[in-house]
Amino acid sequence: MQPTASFKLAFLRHMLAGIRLAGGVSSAPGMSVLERKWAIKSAADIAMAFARGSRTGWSRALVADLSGQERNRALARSILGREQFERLSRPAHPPECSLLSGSKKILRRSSCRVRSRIRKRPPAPRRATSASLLAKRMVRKRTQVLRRLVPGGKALEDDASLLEETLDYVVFLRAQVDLMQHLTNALLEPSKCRYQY
Amino acid sequence: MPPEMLLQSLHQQLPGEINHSIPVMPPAAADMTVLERQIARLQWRQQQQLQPQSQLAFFADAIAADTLLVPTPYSLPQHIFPPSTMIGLQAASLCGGQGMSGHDLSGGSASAWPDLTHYPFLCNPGTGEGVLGGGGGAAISRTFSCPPPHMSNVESRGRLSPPASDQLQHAATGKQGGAAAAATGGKLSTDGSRQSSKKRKSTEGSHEVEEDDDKMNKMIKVENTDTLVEPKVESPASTVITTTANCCKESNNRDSSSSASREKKKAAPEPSLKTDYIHVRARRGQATDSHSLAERVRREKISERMKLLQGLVPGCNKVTGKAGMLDEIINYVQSLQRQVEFLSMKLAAVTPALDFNLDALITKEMSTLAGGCGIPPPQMGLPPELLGLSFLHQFNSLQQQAMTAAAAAAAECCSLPVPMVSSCCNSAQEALRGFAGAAPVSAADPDSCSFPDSCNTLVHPRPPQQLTTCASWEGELQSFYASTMEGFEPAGSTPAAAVAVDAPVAPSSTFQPLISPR
Repeated sequence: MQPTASFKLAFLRHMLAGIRLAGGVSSAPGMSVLERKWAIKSAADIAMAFARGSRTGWSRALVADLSGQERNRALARSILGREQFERLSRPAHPPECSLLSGSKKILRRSSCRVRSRIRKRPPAPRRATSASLLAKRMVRKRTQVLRRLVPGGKALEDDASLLEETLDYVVFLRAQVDLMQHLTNALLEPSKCRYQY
Repeated sequence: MPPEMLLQSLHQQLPGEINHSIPVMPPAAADMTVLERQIARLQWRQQQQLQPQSQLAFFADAIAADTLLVPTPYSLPQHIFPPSTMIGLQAASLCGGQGMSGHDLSGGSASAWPDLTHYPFLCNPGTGEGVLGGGGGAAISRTFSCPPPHMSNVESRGRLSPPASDQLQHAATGKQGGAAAAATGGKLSTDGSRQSSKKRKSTEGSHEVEEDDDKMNKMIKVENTDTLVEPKVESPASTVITTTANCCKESNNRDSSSSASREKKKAAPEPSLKTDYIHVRARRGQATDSHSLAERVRREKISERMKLLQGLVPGCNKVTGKAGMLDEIINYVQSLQRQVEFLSMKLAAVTPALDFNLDALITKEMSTLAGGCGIPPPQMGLPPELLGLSFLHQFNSLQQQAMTAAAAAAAECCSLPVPMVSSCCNSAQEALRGFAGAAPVSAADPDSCSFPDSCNTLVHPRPPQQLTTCASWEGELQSFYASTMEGFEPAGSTPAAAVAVDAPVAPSSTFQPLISPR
């Protein structure tokens, strides 16, 4: 599965604009390599998110995360333009989602308690399925890890939408890696590329 | 599974499908999610599989034209098919006839439709993508876990090709029957089959089988065996997509549960393709209350996405179990993210050189990506006869807007007259050849860096047809870009979709001093 060509071009365009801006910043003295790296990475992320559009949750969450920091905000705005920036940086979910997740946790805990109370009544068949319980726990743990990895994944409620977002994110992340590899190659060894044909 | 049920299900699917005359893959919209694209592709494939029903009618018509009484109502878009799929369709329809004949021979009461089982090899013969399992499978079994017993049955019957001549007679008449039945426009039911069998009886005595038909059947058989080797049968049940969001509504659930219980009694396949609610099929011993049904729907959704992810993440198909697959996915995502970190570090290390090289690089990358030609703006430091992309013009103007320091340069850029069109193929090809040298993709490893699709093709000079497609593509991009960047469009910028090569083609040696590393 390849992302569409228009995505690639838009991505490249914004990526290069971002790098250029970052390079412009870096031309100011006193910027360390780490800072520059950080600027480039955020530029790449913003470019990817923008090229993806505001449809998917992860792109919105990515932009929102990145523009949460003040340094990035200017960069993002100058890459995207104000209108796009406003559209994208609107949080994917209403701001009470942190509250929501807290209440979810409470709910989960209480439901666990209730479940355990219920479980005590018929002990025999539940014991038999301890393996499946273990498997379930494993899956739940990994799902939580995945939730942390995919931007905006924490706000997603169910597993199905999380997997959908992951699907999308993986495709475009791969495209990002490809492009950056490409850029690096072109920057480091242009002469080698030149004589290839 | 009783054949009447099969027929019924097919009948319910077909009338919508037959009306599609042109198998054109729906274009992927820019904002479709990957899942939607995948689903659309699957649906499209399914449609294409069902398409040959009408094709079948046509070809059977062509074979038994003199004996056929019923006119076929389908106008066939033969010219629209690419040749390879056309061949596939032909083979498929003919084989379909053969399968049908076999089926008729074996005296099944289901008349014309078992040929569906012959289609798996037909879908996307050129692309070699993961081939869907049999259309028969997709049509018959709509749940994941139920093995379709009828399909294999039919398939075996279909493969049994009649060698003897009297059997071939049956075959030809079977084709007629199939044509007639298909020509009735998908209103096929058991009545239709009976009619066709009557017709067959009436025509059986009068018509002899030609020798051509015999040969053709044998050829088809050979083709069939050839093509049947190829298909990787990959999850026919993944076409069963449980999509909708309102599945959890109580009424729907009640509906589905009632239908499920009904189907449980009948042991029938669940027939509908409707997407506004979901049929969940409960088998023996499974609960049918709304909670467990919703749970099952959720699980199916998850497993479908998992299957898609499995195709996407390398090394994931070896792992069994959900936890292992999630592990693989997590590892993959993490590795990709780390790779991004690493690459940005690498880029940051190069950045001092970046300031000088970026101009040339932009030109290069854009050219390799778009494969089109244009003129880079002169304030980028490139000589104006160098080839670049036309939208670089706009791009740079955007940048200048963004970096307010260079407003004067932007004005210069805007006031610059863009050289006008003369898109002659020769110069364009020369230009491309020139760019092939500067293409940053090494041709040795096309797999490793697959980002710009056009890079690998750029190494060879393109035919002019491709160039025109490039131009149109570029135009699309232009419009896309313009729509996204409306606020930043300077007044003087030309609609650069028409811009092509005008300046003399730059020798690629001019790239050399510009691109040289630090």
